[in-house]
Amino acid sequence: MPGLGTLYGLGGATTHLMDLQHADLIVIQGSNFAENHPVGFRFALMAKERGATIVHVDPRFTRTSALADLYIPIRSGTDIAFTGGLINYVLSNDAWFKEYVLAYTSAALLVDPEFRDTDELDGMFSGYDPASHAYDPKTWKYELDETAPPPDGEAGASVHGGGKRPKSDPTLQHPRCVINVLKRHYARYTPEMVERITGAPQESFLKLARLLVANSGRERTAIYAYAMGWAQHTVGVQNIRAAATLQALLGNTGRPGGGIMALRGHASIQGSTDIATLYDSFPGYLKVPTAEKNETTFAAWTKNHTMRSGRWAEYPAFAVSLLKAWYGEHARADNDWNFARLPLNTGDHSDLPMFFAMKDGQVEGLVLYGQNPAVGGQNAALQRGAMERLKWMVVRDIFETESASFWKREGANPEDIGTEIFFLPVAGVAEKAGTFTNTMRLLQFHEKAVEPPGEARSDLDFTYELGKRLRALYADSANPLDRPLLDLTWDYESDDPHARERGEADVEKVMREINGYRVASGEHLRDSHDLRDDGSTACGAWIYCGMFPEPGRNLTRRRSADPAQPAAPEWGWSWPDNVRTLYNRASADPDGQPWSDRKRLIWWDDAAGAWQGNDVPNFPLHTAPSYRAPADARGDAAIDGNAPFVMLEYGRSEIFGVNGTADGPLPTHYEPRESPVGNALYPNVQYNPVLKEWRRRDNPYHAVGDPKYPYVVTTYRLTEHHASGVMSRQLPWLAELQPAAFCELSPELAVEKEIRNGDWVTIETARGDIEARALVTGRMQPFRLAPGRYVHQIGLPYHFGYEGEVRGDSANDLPPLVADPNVTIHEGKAFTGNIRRGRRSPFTSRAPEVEAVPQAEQTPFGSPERPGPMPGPGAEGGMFEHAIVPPAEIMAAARIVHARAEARAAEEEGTDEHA
Amino acid sequence: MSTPEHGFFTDVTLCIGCKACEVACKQWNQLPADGYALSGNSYDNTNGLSATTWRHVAFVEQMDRVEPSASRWMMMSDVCKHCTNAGCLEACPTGAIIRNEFNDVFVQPDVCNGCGYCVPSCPFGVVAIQPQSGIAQKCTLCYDRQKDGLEPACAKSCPTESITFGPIEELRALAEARVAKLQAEGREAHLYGVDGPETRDVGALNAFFLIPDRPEVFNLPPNPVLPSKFQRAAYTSGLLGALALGAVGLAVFRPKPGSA
Amino acid sequence: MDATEKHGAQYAAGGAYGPDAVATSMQRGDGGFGRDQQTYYDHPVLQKPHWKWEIVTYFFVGGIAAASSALAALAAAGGDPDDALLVRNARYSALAGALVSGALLVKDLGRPDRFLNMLRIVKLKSPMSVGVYVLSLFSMNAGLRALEQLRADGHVPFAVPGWIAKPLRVSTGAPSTALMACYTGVLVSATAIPVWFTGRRHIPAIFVCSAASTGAALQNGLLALTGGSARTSKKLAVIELIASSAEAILLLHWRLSVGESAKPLFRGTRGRRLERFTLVGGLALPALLLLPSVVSRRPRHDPALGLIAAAAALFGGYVLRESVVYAGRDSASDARAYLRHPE
Repeated sequence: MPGLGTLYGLGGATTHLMDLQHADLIVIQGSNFAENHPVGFRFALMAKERGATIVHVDPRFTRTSALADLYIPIRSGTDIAFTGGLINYVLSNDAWFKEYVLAYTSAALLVDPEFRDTDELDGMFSGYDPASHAYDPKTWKYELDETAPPPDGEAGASVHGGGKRPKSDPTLQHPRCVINVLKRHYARYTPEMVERITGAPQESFLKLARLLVANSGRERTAIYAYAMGWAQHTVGVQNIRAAATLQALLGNTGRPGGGIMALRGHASIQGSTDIATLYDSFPGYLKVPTAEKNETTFAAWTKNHTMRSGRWAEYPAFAVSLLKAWYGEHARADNDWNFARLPLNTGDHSDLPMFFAMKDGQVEGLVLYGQNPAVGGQNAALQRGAMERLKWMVVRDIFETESASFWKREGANPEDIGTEIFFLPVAGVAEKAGTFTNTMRLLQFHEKAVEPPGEARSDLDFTYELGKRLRALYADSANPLDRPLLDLTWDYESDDPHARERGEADVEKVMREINGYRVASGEHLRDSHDLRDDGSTACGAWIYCGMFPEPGRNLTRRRSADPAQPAAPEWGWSWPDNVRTLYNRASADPDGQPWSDRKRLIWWDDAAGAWQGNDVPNFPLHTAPSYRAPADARGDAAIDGNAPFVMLEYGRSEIFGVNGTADGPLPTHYEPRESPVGNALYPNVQYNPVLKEWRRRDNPYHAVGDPKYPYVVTTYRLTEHHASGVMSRQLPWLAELQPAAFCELSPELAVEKEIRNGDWVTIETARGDIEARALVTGRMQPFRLAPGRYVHQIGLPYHFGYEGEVRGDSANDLPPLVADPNVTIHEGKAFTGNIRRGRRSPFTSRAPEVEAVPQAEQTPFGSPERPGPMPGPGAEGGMFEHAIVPPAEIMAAARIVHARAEARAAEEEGTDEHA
Repeated sequence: MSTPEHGFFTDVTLCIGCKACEVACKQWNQLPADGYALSGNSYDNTNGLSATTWRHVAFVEQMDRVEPSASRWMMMSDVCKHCTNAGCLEACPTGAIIRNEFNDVFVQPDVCNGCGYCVPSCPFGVVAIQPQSGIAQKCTLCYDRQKDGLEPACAKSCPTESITFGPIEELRALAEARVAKLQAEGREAHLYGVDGPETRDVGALNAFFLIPDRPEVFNLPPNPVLPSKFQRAAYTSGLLGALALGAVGLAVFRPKPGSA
Repeated sequence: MDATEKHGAQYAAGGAYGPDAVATSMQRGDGGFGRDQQTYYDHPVLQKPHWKWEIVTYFFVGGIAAASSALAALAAAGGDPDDALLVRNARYSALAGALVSGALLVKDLGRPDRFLNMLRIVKLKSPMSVGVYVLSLFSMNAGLRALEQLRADGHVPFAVPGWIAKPLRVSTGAPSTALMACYTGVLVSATAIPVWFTGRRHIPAIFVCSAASTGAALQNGLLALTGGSARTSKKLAVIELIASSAEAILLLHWRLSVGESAKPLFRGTRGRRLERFTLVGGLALPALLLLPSVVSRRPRHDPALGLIAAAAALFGGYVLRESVVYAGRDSASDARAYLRHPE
């Protein structure tokens, strides 16, 4: 997640769930923590028991808000305005943690004089190239000191790229100091502006601001917990960076009970990204070589990513070990480590472009491993239409999913669909052994409890078997394009004859390869520091090195929990190196002593010459706090003793984004791609100018402030269901808990549209209409942005589809495909739509929306476009004058009806009239 | 009692409404789903306890537009109360309903013949006849798990420990401490089923609750009745009537003087 | 005037935007806003008893059987030879009633194959357990009497030995008959169902009176069919009249003395049905029909009238039981009544 990676160094939660109990304040925003991580939430409640405050900032009052001490409503898609407002509050009130910020962040560094901020360029950053529709980040850098030699022990002992150091001003007076740039950037994010944009009452906003300030510093720490509510936006990465910046300014990151708890969206998605299901990363977050950067040789490739200091200095070692793991003896020093067999990225090959390419007939086949794009993908009708263009499709799942049965869905004519579909049964989680890597980077091994039924087999066994058969099929091929397949090490055969008979691979053999071993002896590696770039080590993912240090000692199997150690270090194994709290060097001051006794985590022990404490140090064990790296040092030796963010070039949190985000070095408020209101801060740049969009007739966007679609629509999850519903809507015990697709709306909106609780309603967008039952609830509220100006919201759980015990229309039919420019994550949390009473018209067939797009309008390889700065409807424009019943009247209505019912009952009692 | 009484303490202020308790109970006891119907009542679609739902989570929304900080959404996991004076047990004519060695009220499934008299005798509306099996069913407090030293499925699955299981004395101490703490923070909280007016007839409840509002908000009766107490008046009425009519009958059929 | 004010005015004016629209657009009951909730979405607190026609019929038949047994015993003790036919009819009725009752009860069970489990224990605190033994003893008594009658009628050659018959007769006769008539009223009263437990001072007595009036009505009808004496018929009519009057008074008193919890019985369709078929058709009408024969010095016996009166009374008695049982099912669903009227 570049959100956290660019600021702190690693793309993962900075803390762990057990740590929440030590927080004095927990801010949950962009997340419905209790709903979707109910077990993890127990730790937040433990904090509450100890007197901590829980604040929930969210467009809806959810099951998390029910247990929070303070709930603050905000309009979906305005989180940067809110967090920016907090940053402004902290900076203007001088309430940031001075010693921490000076020592551990880039606050004192000077920004390049060519850099121009959004306030100077009417909503854009400097470096925008209208021809390429992208930013050139060359001005988003520090001003380098060309002359002076490296001083000892000062902020700025090392530098990004080139060996020169940035200039710095420890007095923080210089106007181009990062901290002053930040101050200017967020100066207009006043409480009034926050209320104007987000609808959050100023009072509540200020309450949270004061709570944050009071609960940060030496004695107290605060945690931010976020999830899809931040990630799934066209400014997703910047949403996260804003909070990471705030936490850096408050001095909370790396400290016990502090930092950012990234709550991931699936049980093992952290493992997925670690072992790379992303198109642009290899296991361990190495980058896939790209043609754009001319990374056509091993050296060219690794040079671009090898850093001078910190663990990334060992990039070549990680890369060679990875290639040795994959290609074994076929990867040697003399053949460039078999680099030629690796695919090169030539653009954006992520999920969204892939489906556009598929829709345009450019993709022949698709294999879905437990993925259900027919319900889970945005603009789901397009995804289903795309599947119609495939020649063949393999679906591996535990039930017949909507994707497996797309060809017989309502409105489809199987005779017109040429896709050959293979539906293969799959072993469920208890029917196979393996690991989960959960949201706190923790690996936990689980055993197989029962045999899978019939011919169901695990994904591992299937893939292993498939590989074996493909290799056998192409064994005699002389075609170099077949070498990547044939060069693979592919022996995970089980030692147990019964398992072999059943076609099962040995999952621990896979784990051994991922953990790493010495090529010559086969000995397991114990530590990622043992990895070498000379071909003597093999390692499938350097971050997982150490999880399986010797045969029979698979640390991910551990389940000991010692009450004296709340971090439970002997429960499973977390990466890297079983560190639980990342950047924990920051829990001690520059001299190596904890900022306070109450908040001790690790500290320097002079006698032992090492860091000690309640966690594995995320820092070179024997580097003293007083150590200053010489200019020519490399790797761990290049890390100063007071530089906690060891994955970054010079060890300090980059609160000015020099590390390459596509849309700016500082989070800035832009509206979502579809919004009923203009951007109050930058009227001429309505939404993220470099977001990824696809303007085609099968993916129409609503205009800003389009009166046909005046309401904000947001999608989310329920505890009772899982993702696209395959694992939950097929199970009666879960299906009965939420048996129908519903949408949540406020009583105020319900009155306006004459919708009663329980009525059928249809939600309309240009992408399609869906029907759902209305759940009219006070937990949804209209957002008051200005006197008489309200924005109504409609909420939809996205779990429903046309298969299963309980069925319903899919919410994901509504949003368009539009994505964040950094990671191409979709914006499912804020778009616009309309709602009316009544069922979806039976004449609205699904098929017309998925017509093929004419050749001329197709997007080659599904490549996205970028809009550039698009003006909005003006500062006042686009906000509708909504008719709204005043809140107090709404309250009184309940009492009126109740009183009338009482009166009626009393009447009946008193008379002999028959009812 | 050689084994200390065990029971449940369910704390509404810790419940996140995840319904793990409902599902864990159904899974452990292999109970069928009750049917699929959206109720429109907040997030509660199973509506209440039944013969096949032995844990039920209620959702009560109280949103305040005028004073938003007073808004709340309360979630409460309801269950059989395992009353000290159990109406169902007193009503059962076959002796199927007993107090087991853990002092919990248990319906022996091999004895019950489905007469259904326990059903209207429960003042909390817990026990019901399951049409397929024909017998009365309700929470067993996981008697089978307890016998093996395990805690009930719902308590085990509750992620926030809203449901705790253990010896009643310990649970009461825990509960009282919690009430004191919440009240000190200015929050509404009181116990239901320990020694309030609701225990007057049914006695202390082995499954008791901490609730932040009036009991009727959660469909808990403020004054649950113990039906056996109504018998005296009822028998009096019936027997007096029988006596009176018997006297009439005697008068009508008395032998006339001079008849055989 | 901004949009809010405009809408506020519209709101006050009512209609599609009025308070009712607002309130009904919110969640059911008064949940959704504020803290006025009196129930949990008005969802029933209590479980409905599953009893239906089997139990209704049992109450009806059982009451008649009890009354028949009592009438047989009283008439036999009185010794009037005119009443011999009554004794015979009543004894056979009692046994038939006991057997039918037993069958109905077994059928009503969720697990009829386990009906013998009822005899595992004796629980005096449970009217159901008491009832099991009452029915058993009553049936034994009725059987004994029927056997005696069969012997008397010459249909069987043997008699039950005195050393069995006498103790049984003494121990089971009056008590089991009396309890047989009233325990069903106690059964329904000793529950948590509001309409039942608030009526606990009335229902058992009403059931006894109804048993007596329907029992007498049946026997009168049987007499009409089997050619009984007018004197006997008059005795029965007197009993029926007195019992009916008592029943009517008790019903009216019950209706006047309880409030909302008795709504399911006395209001609406059911209330009208009760009024029409029980009070009017089952009590008042037969009383009127029988009155002439009661007050006249010379007992006249009009079989046709007797049959009509009997039929009306019997139907009225059935409707009474049905109303009470089904009202109980409805009462279980009335959350407001239960939560607001604790006893």
